[in-house]
Amino acid sequence: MPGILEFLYVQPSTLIWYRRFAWRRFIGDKADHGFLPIRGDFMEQVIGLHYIDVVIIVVYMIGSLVLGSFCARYVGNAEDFFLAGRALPFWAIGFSIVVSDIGATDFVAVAGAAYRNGISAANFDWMGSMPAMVIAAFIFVPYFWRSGVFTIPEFLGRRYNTGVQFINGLIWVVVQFVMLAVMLWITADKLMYTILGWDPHWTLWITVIITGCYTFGGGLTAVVFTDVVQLIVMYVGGLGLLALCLWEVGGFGALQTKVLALGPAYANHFNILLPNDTTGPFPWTGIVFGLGLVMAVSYMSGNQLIVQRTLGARSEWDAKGGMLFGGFLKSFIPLMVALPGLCAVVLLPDLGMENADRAVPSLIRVYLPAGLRGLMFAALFAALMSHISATLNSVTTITVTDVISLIRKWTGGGAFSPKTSLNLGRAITAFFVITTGLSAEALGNSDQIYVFLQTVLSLFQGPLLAILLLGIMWRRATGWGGLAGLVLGVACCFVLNYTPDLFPSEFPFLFVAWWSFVFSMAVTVIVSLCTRPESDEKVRGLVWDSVVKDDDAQEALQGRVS
Amino acid sequence: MAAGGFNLEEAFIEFCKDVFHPILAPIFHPINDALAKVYQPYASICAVGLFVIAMFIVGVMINEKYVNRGRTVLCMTPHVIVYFYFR
Repeated sequence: MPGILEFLYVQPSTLIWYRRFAWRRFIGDKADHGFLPIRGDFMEQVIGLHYIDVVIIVVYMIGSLVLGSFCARYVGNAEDFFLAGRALPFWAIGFSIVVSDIGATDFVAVAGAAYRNGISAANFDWMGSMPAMVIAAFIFVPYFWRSGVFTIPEFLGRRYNTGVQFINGLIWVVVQFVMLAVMLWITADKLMYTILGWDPHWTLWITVIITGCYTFGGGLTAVVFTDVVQLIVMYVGGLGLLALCLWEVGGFGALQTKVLALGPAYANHFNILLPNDTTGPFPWTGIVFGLGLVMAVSYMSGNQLIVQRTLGARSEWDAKGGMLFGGFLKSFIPLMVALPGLCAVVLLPDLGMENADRAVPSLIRVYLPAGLRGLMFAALFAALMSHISATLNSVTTITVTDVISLIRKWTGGGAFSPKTSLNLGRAITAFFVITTGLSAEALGNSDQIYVFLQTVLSLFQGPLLAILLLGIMWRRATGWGGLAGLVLGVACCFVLNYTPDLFPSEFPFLFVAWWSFVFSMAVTVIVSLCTRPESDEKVRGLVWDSVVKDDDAQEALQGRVS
Repeated sequence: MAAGGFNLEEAFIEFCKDVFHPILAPIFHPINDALAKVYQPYASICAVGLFVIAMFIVGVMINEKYVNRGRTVLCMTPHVIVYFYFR
């Protein structure tokens, strides 16, 4: 039986597509779902915290606030606020990319996925990360970085036209805002309340206020340097849980032997690539082509949440190195979030597939001692706060750069001064903090809005990658070609997504991503060839040839960013 | 979205089923049937190939001063081992 894990597997990465289906299943199933028992009888499943645990969590949260607020002294203009003054070192970028990608619910959801489907669930952090991050580091990041842009839509605007920029920016802002509100409520209500019994309103507002304060004051600098601490806390908590679980099982070899001995239902639990005709969501063809080649690359290269950190690098080397270092750090994530789920198969044999999402909460309750338990929950809060701050910062940047500035330009106004941009950025951050907190419960309980917006966002992944890739690699791609590729590619996604029985998998989002990418590429090429080529001046420094082979363009680009 | 008993999503699914399924099924079903017969060792070859191609692009195709080849290839190696181990 499907569970909340698919819904909770909500890192804003390649699984956004999956979430859209999982949410619908979750809403349909929640009446009889084990993870969300009726509130009256859940108290016996609540995890009690020792006062040491509470002290650890409080110290962690106050520490984050102090560190983040300290960074406010380095913010003097818009570039400091949005791009950390372009002074970030590679190691901070790497840490920040990884921690921004992991939500608090991943610890619960991925472990549940591993409990149910086996090690194939870890593909989203292996196949779905490293090759894509290498491609992002060496093909996409240098272009974004050298062009001196603040956002991905801004790059698309320069390469294609402001229509593409505005559409992309506006959809991103609306969808990310709603998703943030929903995520907050889900984490506060469905995770912290269900596991700890804490009042969801208190959890929500404390988290939002602390995170909002340091994001408001310190901008990207505060976000990145709190991310560094948060990832360390996550690693200590997550790897501590894994170490204790493996100790109880008897080591990794014993884990394999014991799981495979449980019978045919577990025969594929250590098989990372499943057959194409599997009815589950992770067939190997979808993993390699849909995830590895399209969704992962699109996420790592076209997601403002990720790319913004590299745009704030102190040098191009740091931008690329940060992305690569992030890939290296990310390879450990499945160990923390997936392997505990496999351990639970052995340690909690009575849990059952229908309650797989309770694997990590149950392991915490049974095996973690006081102190470590607090550290584990500090890790969950770290994941939540890093996700909030990253989203706030990226949404604010796009709102200022790609929505408000464009509207002002179209209505005859001039560009904002750096000081005005900074004030505007802070005002919008405060606005999003307050409105997100106020609307979280209503949006979190409204599945229709969430499902619709998730669908819209997820359907952009393949077409967005297609126009990004062609825009960089092919000089002949035109503004009309890019616009047609984006719009018709999204339309293609809707058709493939909603036409039943086209693919063997129950959730064919990986296949839809691949074919929409191919379709969007074809449309962009055909329309571009039928329209007038862009001028040399417009594409100079924005396409592969001019960056790699043209020495004059290289000098011009270096001058632009120095 | 549902509105007054009318479900737009279900209506759209019905529309796609009637209009697009007859066109798209003859394209995708043969592909699905062909892929259903392809599994190991090709799945592992494709998966590892993705990593190797990424390494190849970085290590061979891109200008040396543009990348740090040694470290890139080094940090990707553990991933390749993962796919050999769990094949």
